[in-house]
Amino acid sequence: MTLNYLSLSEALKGIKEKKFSSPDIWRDCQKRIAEIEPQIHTFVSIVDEPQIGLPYAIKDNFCTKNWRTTASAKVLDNFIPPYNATVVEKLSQANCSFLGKTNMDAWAHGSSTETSDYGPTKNPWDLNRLPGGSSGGSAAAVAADLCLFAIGSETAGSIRIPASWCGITGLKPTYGRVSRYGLIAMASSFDCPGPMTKTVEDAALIYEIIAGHDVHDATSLSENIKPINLKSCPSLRIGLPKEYLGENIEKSVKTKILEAAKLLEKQGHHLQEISLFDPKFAIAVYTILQRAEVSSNLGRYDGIRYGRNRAFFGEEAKRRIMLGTYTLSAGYYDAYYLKAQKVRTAIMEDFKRAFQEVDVILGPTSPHTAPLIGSSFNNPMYGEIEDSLVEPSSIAGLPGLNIPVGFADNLPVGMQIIGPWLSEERLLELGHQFQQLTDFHLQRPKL
Amino acid sequence: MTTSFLTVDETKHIATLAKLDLDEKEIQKFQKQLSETLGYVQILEQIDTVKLKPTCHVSDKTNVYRKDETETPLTVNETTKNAAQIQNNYFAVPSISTK
Repeated sequence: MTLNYLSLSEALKGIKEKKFSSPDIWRDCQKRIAEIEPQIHTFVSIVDEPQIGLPYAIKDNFCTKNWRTTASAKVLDNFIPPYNATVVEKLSQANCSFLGKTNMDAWAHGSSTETSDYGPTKNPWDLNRLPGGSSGGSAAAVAADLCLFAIGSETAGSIRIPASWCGITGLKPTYGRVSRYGLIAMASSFDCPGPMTKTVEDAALIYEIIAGHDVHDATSLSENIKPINLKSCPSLRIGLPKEYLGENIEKSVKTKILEAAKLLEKQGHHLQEISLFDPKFAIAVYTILQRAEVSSNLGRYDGIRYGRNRAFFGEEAKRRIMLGTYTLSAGYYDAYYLKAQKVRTAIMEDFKRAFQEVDVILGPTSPHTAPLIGSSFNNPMYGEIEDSLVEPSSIAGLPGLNIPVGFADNLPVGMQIIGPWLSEERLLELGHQFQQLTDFHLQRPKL
Repeated sequence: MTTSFLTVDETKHIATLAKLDLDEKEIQKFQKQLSETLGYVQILEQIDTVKLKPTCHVSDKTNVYRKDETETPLTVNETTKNAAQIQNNYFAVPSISTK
C-alpha cells in the first residue's frame, strides 16, 4: 500500500515509529494526483514542490498567503491573498501543509460542485455522478486518497452533503467554533470551516487543531474545547425524526440509516422517534437569509482593490445576488428577511425542545445517493432541495457529523448525527464507536 | 408556476441596485426563476411569527471587545498588489464625476 492511502492517525503513527517521513507521503500523494486528477478534476491549483508538513487538501475559498485563491469563481481568477486564513495558520503550526486548493461550487453557492467556474468535479465512486458540494473537491480528494485529509466549509450542507455522496467523514462544527477569518465570506451568519477525513478519529484530531477563539473573528466562540474521549461513548438517547425519514427519502437510504441506528441501539443507546419542524420551512428560511447575506457579501467585488469586475460573476452568483438584493430592498424587507429571521428563531427553539428529549439526532444526510452530473442545471433551488435535511441544523448553528453507513447500488450512503450547541465531542465519540463496529469508511472507490 | 412576484421592470431595477449588467435574455430568465423562488418561500406565511423575535445571529454574543492594541499591519505593497490600478500607493478608482 502506498502512503497516500493512510489515514492521518496512521500516518502520524508511522512517522513516530520512523517507518517513513512526511516527504515520502507527499511523493505518494503527488503520484496519485498525477494519475487520478485528470479523471476527477479535484483541484483548482496544485502545489508542485513537496513541503515539510503532512499533506492535506483545502477548499479554494480559504485564503492562502501568496498562493492563488479563487473560490472557483472567475471574479477571483487572479487573486493572490497577502495573508493566511486562521485555519491554514493553525494547521501550519501543527506541521501540516496544503498540497492543493480544491474545486467547489463558485463562491460555495451550490450542492453539486458543477457550478464551479472551472468545471465540475466528478465523484470517485462513479465518474458520471456529482461529488456533492460545495466542498466537492475536498470530498473527492479524500475519497480518492489524493491526500491524508481535507478542509471544507459549510454554510448549509457543504461539508456533510459531499462527505455523504463521496463516502467519507465530515464534521460541520458549531457556528463560531472554528474561525472564519480568511474564509471568503458567503453567508456570514452560517459559514463554518470543518474537517473532511477518512475516519472519525482523524476528524477529531483536525477539529482539535482548528477549533478555538480567534481575535480576528469576533463571532468565534471563547468557550473551552471539551476533551474528546474516543475510547468510550456514554449511553445516549438517540432521536430519529420522522420528518427526516419520510416518503421523499430513497428507500435504500432509509434502510441503511435504520440499520445503523439498530447497530447503535445494540451498543446500549436508546432509540426514540421524535418530531421536528418540517424541513420545507427551513428551505424557505435558508433561501431568503442566504441570498440576502450573499448579496451583501458579494457587494464588495468591484474589481478595484482585488479581483475582477462584476461582469465576471457566473449565473448562479448573479441569481443569488438578485434575489438577496430584492428581499433586502425597501418595501420587501419585512415580508421576506424579517419574516425568515423570525422563523429562524422558531427552528432554533424547536431544536432546543428536541434536545430536552434526546442527546443526539440521527437521520440521512441526503435523501438519496449521488445523482448524475447535470442534475443541478435549470433548477434555481437545486441546492436547497438537496440540502433539505441539513439546512435546519445549519440555520440553528448546530454541529453535525456525516459518517458512511453503507452502500446502495455501489454508491455511498451517509448518515448525519446532529447534536446541541457545542456537542462536537459527543458526535465524534458516537461516530467513532460506529466506525469501530463497521468498515464502510474503509471501502475505497475503484479508480 | 409563472405567478409574477416580480415584473420585468422590477427585475431590471434590482439588477441596477446590485450593479449587475444583465442582458435581455438574463432579465427574462431571472424574472421567471426569481418569481418561482419567491413563490416557494411564501410557505413561511403558514407560520405564526407574531410572538417570535428575529434571530440575526445564532450565538448569544452581544458586544465583543478586544484590547486596544495594534498588530503589525500588511505593508502598502501587500495591500495593493492585487489592485487593477494603483497611483502613488492609492487604489485608482473610476471617475464618478465630470469636471
